[in-house]
Amino acid sequence: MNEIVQVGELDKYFGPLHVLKNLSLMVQKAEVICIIGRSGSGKSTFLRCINFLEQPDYGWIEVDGLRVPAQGSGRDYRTLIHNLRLKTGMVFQSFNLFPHKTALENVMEGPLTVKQMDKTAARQLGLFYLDKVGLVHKRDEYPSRLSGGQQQRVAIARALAMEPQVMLFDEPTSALDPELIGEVLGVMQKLVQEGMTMLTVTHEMGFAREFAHRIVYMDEGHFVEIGPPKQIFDAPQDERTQLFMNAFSRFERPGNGG
Amino acid sequence: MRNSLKLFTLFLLVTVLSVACGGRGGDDLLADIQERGTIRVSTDANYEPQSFLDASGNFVGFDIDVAREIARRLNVQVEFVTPDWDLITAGNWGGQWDMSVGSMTVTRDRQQVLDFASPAYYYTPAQFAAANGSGINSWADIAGKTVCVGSATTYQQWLEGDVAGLGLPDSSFYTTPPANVTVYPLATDAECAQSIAAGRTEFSIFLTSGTVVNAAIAEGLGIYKVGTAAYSENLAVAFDKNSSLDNSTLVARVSEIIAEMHADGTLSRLSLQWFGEDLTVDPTK
Amino acid sequence: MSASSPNQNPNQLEQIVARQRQQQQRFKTGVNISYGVLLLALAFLFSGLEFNIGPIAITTISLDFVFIRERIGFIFGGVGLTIMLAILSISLACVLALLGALGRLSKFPPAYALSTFYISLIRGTPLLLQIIFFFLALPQLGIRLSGLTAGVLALGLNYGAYMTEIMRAGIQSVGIGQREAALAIGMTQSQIMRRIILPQAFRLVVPPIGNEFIAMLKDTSLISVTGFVWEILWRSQRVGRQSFRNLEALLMAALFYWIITIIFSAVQNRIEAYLGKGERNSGGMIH
Repeated sequence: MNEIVQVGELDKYFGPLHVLKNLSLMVQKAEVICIIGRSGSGKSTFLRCINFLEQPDYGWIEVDGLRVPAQGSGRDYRTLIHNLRLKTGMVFQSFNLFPHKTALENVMEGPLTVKQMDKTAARQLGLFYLDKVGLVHKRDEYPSRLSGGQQQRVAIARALAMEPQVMLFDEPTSALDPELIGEVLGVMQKLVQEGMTMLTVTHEMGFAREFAHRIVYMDEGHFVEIGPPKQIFDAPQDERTQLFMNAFSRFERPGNGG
Repeated sequence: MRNSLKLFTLFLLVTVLSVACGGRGGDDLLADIQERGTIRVSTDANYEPQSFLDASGNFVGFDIDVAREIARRLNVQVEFVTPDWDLITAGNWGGQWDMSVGSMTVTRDRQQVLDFASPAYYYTPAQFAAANGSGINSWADIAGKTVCVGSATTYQQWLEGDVAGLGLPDSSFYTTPPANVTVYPLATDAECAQSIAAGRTEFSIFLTSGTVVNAAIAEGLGIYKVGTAAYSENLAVAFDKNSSLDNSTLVARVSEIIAEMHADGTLSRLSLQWFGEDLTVDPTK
Repeated sequence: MSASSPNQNPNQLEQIVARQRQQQQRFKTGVNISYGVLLLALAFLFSGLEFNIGPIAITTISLDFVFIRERIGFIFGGVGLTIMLAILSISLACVLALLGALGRLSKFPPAYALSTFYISLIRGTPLLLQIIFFFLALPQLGIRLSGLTAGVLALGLNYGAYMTEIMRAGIQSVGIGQREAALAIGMTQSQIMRRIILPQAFRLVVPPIGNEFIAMLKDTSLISVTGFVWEILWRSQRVGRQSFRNLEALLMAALFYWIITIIFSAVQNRIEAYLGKGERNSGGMIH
């Protein structure tokens, strides 16, 4: 098949706390997965395990044919993780732009230092991706001079500049003022249309309903229910999903960030 | 973080290596001096007229001239270094200088760590002095009082009752140490005189070389001599006993040169020039 | 009248701004006048004047100005060396502090141990003792360092240990998010340290290192105990002792240290102001 991301029997503990419980997931190329759930359900941890920002305790991750077991040691294993990270791009809730570098320098940093591209090529690449997120005119601004929405768009460009096989979004709009959410979702929508494979942890139910191919509902470290938006939103199978959806529709209208 | 690790290993390695590669030995110090063409002489530039700095910072004084003359007769240049007095008398110079021409009294204790050229190049009297108005008029008045001395000097040793430790012949002593004195050591003898002049009251008496007392009186400090000389000191050129290079030929050669300088009147001339009197004659003979 | 807010009435706003400026100006003038008075009082203290005001006898410290005139040049000759000692020592200290901080944060046991051992040993012993130790102990190992090198080594090692904390705080002040973002684009640990963490930490550690440098300028005087380095204090003690004019000599030294400190403090303020400006341009993040 055309599976670009595979997660197999993943377990993760924080000390005695069992936060991810035997999770497996296959993601097709160009598929968009939205992961939803209460805070503390393990959805961010799951996403961060995919590029080993968190090291799982058991199981394996495979991206684009490169399989990395949860545990290992030595130089070869570290190289494996490094190569896995090159195949994934990540966008964080709090943007994490490098504050001492301009927007363009942020985007160029990966190509320059990791891919050891020459400066001219890295600059062209940087401008290309800044243009893709609509911020080429802000190329020489430092992050502190950009709005939250603009910072997050630069962060997306920074991840894209490494030309990853899959993009991981960890609550990309949660730290944003409501009026700035739209511009970030707009960029993400564009990526969906370009056929980017995406795993997104989000509270943006509107985005999830409209663009996700499948939605994963997580609770207490389990994948409770996986299915197309229609199923999860309109006819959830599992009782826990139903409860979550009810609570959501009662207190928060879809599209109004958490 | 891995780079920092390498740096650390390097740092460790350098430390260990620099500790490991030490010590050379077997060579002759005099030969070494002649090879480099310079003799390094330590001097304690705190004392006028023995060793001090003129207004433009040049070394001048009796000790300085004696050192220059010794170097001249060794056919080498002289370079002065200025470690603290305690460091000079403690020995173990670690090869940082070759010889001390610093009005150092030959004592038994110092002979444990230093070698001295023989004969002495001059002799000074140990002299008590007191603050004007202190009412101290004789050696007898000193008993039970506090007396200031330069730290690690023979004056401290003598006052503390270690007369034998000085290793001087009996004929050098003109009196016995006063009884029950409290010894107050300061960094140098000069501080004793200055503390009194500044009006400090911890002590009003000090014991030092007669030449220092003369200089202080000449500078107008409010002090006067108490009694005559307490004892006479033999001041000699000193060498490090624990030198990594063999110093015996150097000690022998410098001893010869000093004897020559006594015989040909050089030392007397320098003494008259700097002290206004001839201090180069052994008073015990 | 109370209803009209200042920004609705330009005249009133101008008045308020003018009043505030006037107040600031008055404060500045007051401070400068007070400085003048204090300096005069200090000068009076050393004027050598003696007189009576009614029943009270006023005595001041008298100085030998002929001696001061003669020797001030010689003592001034140590200023360059003092500054050089401080610059060399602070440079060494910065390197050691960085290594110390990296070791302190390292997960490699020997590096962590070496770093904490170093900090404990140096912070547990007096600086003066360390200087004497370096001067006395190393020759026994066959390492013959000049007084200057031994002094710089001791000062650098000592300050390095204290500054390790500054460096560590600087490194740790850079959020974990920065490291994660860099890891996510595939940067290695050393690339992250070099290109992401240290440049951000640098801005934070410059002001405290400036303070250390100002302190260092005066601690260089401790090197004078070895007697081998002719910096300001050594020179002043020598000429003071031989002429029984320690007070005058030390006062000259104090004056030079003070002036150097004032100059370098001004430089430090400039640097901090400059960095502070940079902070606003490129600093903190909006969360």
